[in-house]
Amino acid sequence: MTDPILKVDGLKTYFRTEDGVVKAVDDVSFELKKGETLGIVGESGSGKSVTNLSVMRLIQTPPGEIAGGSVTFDGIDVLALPIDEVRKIRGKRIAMIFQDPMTSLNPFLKISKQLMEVTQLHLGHTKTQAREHALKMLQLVGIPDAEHRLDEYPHEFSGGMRQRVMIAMALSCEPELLIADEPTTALDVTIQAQILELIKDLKSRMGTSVILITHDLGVVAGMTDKIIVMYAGKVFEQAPTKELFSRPANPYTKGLLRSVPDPAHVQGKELYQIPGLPPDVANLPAGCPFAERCDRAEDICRREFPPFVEVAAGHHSLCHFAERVYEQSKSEVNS
Amino acid sequence: MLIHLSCPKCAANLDVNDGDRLVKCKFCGAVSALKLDERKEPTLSLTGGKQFVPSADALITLDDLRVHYRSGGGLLSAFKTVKAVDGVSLDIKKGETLGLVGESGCGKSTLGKAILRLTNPTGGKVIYNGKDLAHLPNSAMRDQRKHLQMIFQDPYASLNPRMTVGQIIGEPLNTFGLKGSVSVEQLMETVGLSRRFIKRYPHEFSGGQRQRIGIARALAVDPEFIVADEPISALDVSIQAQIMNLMERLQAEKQLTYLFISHDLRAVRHLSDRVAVMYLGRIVELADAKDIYKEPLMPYTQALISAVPVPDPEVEAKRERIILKGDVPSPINPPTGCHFHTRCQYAVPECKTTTPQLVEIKPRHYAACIRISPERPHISENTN
Repeated sequence: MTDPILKVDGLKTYFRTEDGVVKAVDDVSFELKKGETLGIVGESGSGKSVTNLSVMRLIQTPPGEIAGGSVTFDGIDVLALPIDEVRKIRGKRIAMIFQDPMTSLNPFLKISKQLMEVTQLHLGHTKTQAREHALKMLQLVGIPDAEHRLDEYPHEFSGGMRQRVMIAMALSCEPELLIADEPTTALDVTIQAQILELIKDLKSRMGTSVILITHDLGVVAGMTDKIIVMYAGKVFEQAPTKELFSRPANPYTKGLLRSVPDPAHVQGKELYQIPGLPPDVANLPAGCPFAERCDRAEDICRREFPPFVEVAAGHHSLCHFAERVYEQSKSEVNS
Repeated sequence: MLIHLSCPKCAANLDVNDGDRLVKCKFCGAVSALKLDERKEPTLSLTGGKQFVPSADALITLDDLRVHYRSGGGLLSAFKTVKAVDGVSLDIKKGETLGLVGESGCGKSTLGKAILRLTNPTGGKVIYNGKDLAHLPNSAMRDQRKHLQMIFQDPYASLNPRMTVGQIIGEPLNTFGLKGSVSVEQLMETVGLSRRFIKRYPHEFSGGQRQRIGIARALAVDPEFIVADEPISALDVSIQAQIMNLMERLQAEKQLTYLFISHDLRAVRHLSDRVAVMYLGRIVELADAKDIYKEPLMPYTQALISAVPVPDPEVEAKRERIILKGDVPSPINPPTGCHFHTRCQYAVPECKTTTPQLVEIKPRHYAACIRISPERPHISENTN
C-alpha cells in the first residue's frame, strides 16, 4: 500500500465572532491515497470549504484560527510550515479550483498573463517557455482556437470556458493534489457534464489525487472513490462511495439521499423531507447536532455527543445508533 | 441523378437529387423525406406529423409569443435584436404543473415574466379567461395580477429588507383591497411559518423561510396561476425538498396551476405533469413528464437528460453520457435553421436551413426536429 498523499487528523478551525466561537470545522480526519478521488458533501455552513481552505492554509487569522489537529501532505506537516514554504506548495503541488470562475480570475489581465504567472513562479519558466506551456494547457482542457484565445480577457469567455481556464491554471504545474470546490455549481447541466468529464479524463492521465467538494450527491456518485458527509463542522459519515449510497449508516445521510427526487420514480409521491433548518454553528446543542431534525432521535441523542462508530471496514458513522441504522439499510437493500 | 417528384403537401414539381434525404419544397416550405424503394417509384413523404396547436380551453394559452429586446447600438453601430422568446406557443391547463426547462440564456425566465407582463411581449398573445393579456392596458392588467402571481428565485433579493414579514405579506391585500378576506397570520401558517415571526425582518430568516414568505405573499391574493421561477435553486438540498412538498400541498389544497421554471431536471421531473424544453427562445420538445424522461426524442433533450447526474454510483458507472460540444450560442446571433444544429451530432445540411416546427411525433409528445417523424421517431444513425 502506498502512503497517503494527504492525511488530515483531528483538524479544528474556529472563528471568533461577536456571537462567540464558531467551530466551523471540529475534529475532522480523513486520508487520501495517491490517485484517489474523495468527495466532501454537505450543505452550506457544514464546514466543507473551510476544511479545504485550512489544508491550503488560506484561513484568514483573525478571525479564523486553526485550533488543533494536523495536516500532513506527502510527509510534510503543512500546519507547522513557515508561510513562505506553504506558498511553494500552494499552486504547485496542491492546486485549487473554485465555484465561481469569474471572481477567481483577474478581469484586468489577459488569460495568457494569468496562466504564465503560475509556471514562471513555480517552475522558473522564461516568458517564451511559459507562453508555450500556457498554450499547451489551454489545448489540453479543450479550448478551441487556443492560440488566439490566449490573448483574450476573462470576460470574453463563457462560464464553462472560464472554468476550463481555471482548470488549466490549476493543472499547469502538474499538482499531486487538486481541490475542486463546487467546480460545476455555477454551470449549466450540459456544461457540467463537460467539465466533470474533463476532470475525470485529466485525473486518469496525470494521476492526480482529487478532492471534490459539492452539495450535489449526483456529482459525487459518478466521480469519487470515497465520500465524507459533513454536518455542522463534523464528519457525520465516511465510507467508500458505493457503500455510502447503498448502505448509509447515518440518519442524516439517509435523509439527504431520500430527499433528492429520483428521476425514475412516479410523480405525485411526496418527497421525503428533513424537517427543520441546518443548525446555527455558533450555538450548537449539547448532544448530537442533528438530533433536533432526526426522525429516530432518542433522549441520549439530545444529551450526549454521539460516538464515531466503525460499522464496516472503512465505513464510519457519527451516531448513537450507527449499527442499527446500518443494519436497517442493509436489510432495505436486500428486500 | 435528378428525380422528378411532386411535393406531398402542395403538389408542386420538385427536382430531387437521389443522394438527398430531406427535401424542402420551394413553394410551400414543407419538408419531406425521400424514400427510395427499388421495386416502386421513389416517393416523398412529409416528415412532420400534426403540428402543435395550443388548446383553446386551457387556463393560459400562449400563441406565438415573442419577446425581442434591442441591444447595443450606438452612434456608428446598428442595434442588434435579442430574440429572447421567439414564437412560443404553449397551453397550461387548469390544475396542472407545466415544467419549463432549459439552460441559462434560453429565455425561460423571460417567458415567465412575459406571461405576467413583468416584461412586455413584442408579439403574439397570452390568452387568459378570454382576454389577451399581452395587449391589455396597464390598468386592466393590474387587476388581472390578482389571479396571476409569481415566486422568484432569489429569496434574498425579492423581499424588501425594510419591511416586516407582516407588511410584506399584507401588502398585496392592501393593494387589491382584500383586507379581511384572509389574515396575514393565516397565510403564514399555510406556508409553515410561525405567526410569532410577524414583526420580524427578512434578514432574520434563513433562505428556506424567506422562500416561504415569498410564497405566502403570492398566495395572499388567492391566485389561480403561479409562475415559479427557479424557486428552489438558491436553497440547500434538505430545504429544497421542504419547499417542493409545500408547493405540491398548496396546489392540491387550492387547485393552483403552476408554470415551474427550473434548470434542475430532477426537481422538474418530480413536480411537473408536462414538461416543455426550451432552447434559444424556442420550445423544442413538449410532452408528459414521464414520457419525456423515459424517451426524449429531440437530440438536445436527450443530451440534457443524459447530463443529469444520478445519485447512484452503479447507475453512474454504467451510463453512456452524451457530451455536447461547445456552449449555448449567443441569442443575439443564433444559428440559422434549427438553433441546435451547431452542437447536434445528428445534424444534416438541411438542419442549417430549415426551421423545424413542433410536431406530434408520438401521441401527446411533440418535438421540433426535421430528422424525426411519427413513422421514424428515432434517429437511427447519422446517415451522412
